[in-house]
Amino acid sequence: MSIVDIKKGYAKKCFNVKEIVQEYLKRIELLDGKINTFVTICSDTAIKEAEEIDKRLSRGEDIGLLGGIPIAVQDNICTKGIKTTCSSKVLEDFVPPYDATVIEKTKAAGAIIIGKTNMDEFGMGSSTETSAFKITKNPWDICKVPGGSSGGSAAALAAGFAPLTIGSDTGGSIRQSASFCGAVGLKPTYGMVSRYGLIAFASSLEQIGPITRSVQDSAYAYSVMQGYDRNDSMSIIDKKNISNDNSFKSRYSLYQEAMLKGVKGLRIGLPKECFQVNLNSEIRESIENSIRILEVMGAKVDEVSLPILDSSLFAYYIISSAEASSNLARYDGIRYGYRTECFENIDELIVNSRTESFGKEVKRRIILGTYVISSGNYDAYYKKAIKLRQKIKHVFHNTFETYDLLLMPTSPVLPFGIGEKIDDPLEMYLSDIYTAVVNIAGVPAISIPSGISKAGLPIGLQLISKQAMEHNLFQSAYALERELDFKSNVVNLEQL
Amino acid sequence: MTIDKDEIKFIAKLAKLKFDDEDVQMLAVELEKVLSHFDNIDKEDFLDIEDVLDISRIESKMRGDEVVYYQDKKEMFRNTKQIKDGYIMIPKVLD
Repeated sequence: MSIVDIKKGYAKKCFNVKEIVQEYLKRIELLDGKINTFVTICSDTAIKEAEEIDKRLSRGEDIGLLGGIPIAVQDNICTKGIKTTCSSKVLEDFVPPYDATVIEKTKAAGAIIIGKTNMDEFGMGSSTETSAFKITKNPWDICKVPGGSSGGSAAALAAGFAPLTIGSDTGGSIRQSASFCGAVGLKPTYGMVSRYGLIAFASSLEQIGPITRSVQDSAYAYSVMQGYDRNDSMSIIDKKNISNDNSFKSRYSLYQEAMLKGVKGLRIGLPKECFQVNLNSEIRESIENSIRILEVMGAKVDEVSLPILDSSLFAYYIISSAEASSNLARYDGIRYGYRTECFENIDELIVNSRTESFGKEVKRRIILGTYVISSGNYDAYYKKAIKLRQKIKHVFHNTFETYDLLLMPTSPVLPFGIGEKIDDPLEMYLSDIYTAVVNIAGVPAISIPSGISKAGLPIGLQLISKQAMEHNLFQSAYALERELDFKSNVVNLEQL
Repeated sequence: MTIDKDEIKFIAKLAKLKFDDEDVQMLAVELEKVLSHFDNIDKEDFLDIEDVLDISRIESKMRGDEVVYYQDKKEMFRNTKQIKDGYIMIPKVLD
């Protein structure tokens, strides 16, 4: 069921909150062993919270915008009193003393945290294989990866373990995972959702976003999650598109109005660099079908050339690794996190704690990041990447003078096999070729299911808009979703 | 371009990480492969880049420089492994 359907059900008294939560927990207990989406399941607290909300419902009280909606939260978002591990040995026993702002907001709106989901360690990966604890499997085919780093959240959504899951997106983590799992994944404009409480990987690139079953649910959840936060120094206010009160009502009504408009007259650009000869033929066919649908509905679709896209991955990996090496310097075994038992002095305490607890990919990125900002290498790599980022922002800014949206596949490949790319870092990094540029530019993007391959694997389509123009994303994605009628049914795990 | 093992060892020292020789060798090869893939970046022309992109429709909001105290100190330190009388215990730093 979608968020909207559950809310209607509560209002009509078709079921109560405890029944819904118990159903989801039962399904998780029965089936999660097959796909390993959760690191922590919060059965007891979820049931207690459900009972409290039922009491308030019976008294006729307002239970909130997400009242009684079970949510699964990626395990790099701080949840007070609930273990938050980033799927790393470093934080295996870390219990945050505070809630992330996005968690405060969703809890205040009445959401019930059903569990914390698995991810690539510290968000570094595109397959959820670098987790220190377990490998999450794609519910559509358990021999395939669910994407990453938000693979746990995307797979949990696809498997019907929650109607709303929350992930983070630094170079495509939400969108690529959503694409691989047949879900809708939104990466907001940088600054629109507070990063306070998001355990840092690359501070200038990452954003928290919703993974949902439908575009309408995505718009709804996003309206709850977004907003100015004084605890995030890069938090922004969009005064042009949203009225001064910046309330949920003003945000969601903007998106609802947009979703009712259709796509007639919308100008959509297709970067030709994303449709080259070597693009997977099934992905090409699915995306071209969606393009035809948009044209029939009245959108103006043109090919556009953005050659800078080829270089964008360089900017992403240099900047994100450099920021990661800085952000992960805090893990020294002193104040929190893994502490080695083998040390004779302070240096050994720090070095051994870090060496023993970080995984291979995290260490690789820390070394890459430290390398590109070290003396003698800074100009050749980091400084160049920063200039390239500025150039990419200009190119996008100029492109959006002519176009309302850009459209491309979310991923150049179909969900790949578990173990297929894990030993080839460069091959893994190239998975982000269509998504990472969005984080570099700081603009929003959404991935929606576009079709299914012959082998039964989901194919995702990505729409990108100008900063703070998420309503354009919802407008086009909603129209396309209705025409495609993608049966993103809950995957039948019982048959696996 | 080549990255030699001594450079990796130096970088590892900066990053407070320790690797055995086999891992150092592998890292050198992997980093070289990743960075070489992006060698074509030099074809980009950066001379025409303005310093600041005009994003005047999006506004950062300033806040006052006010101190906010976190009241629950016990909660804040619940994840510290060794604590005594409110201090974190670590090996001697200065002789």
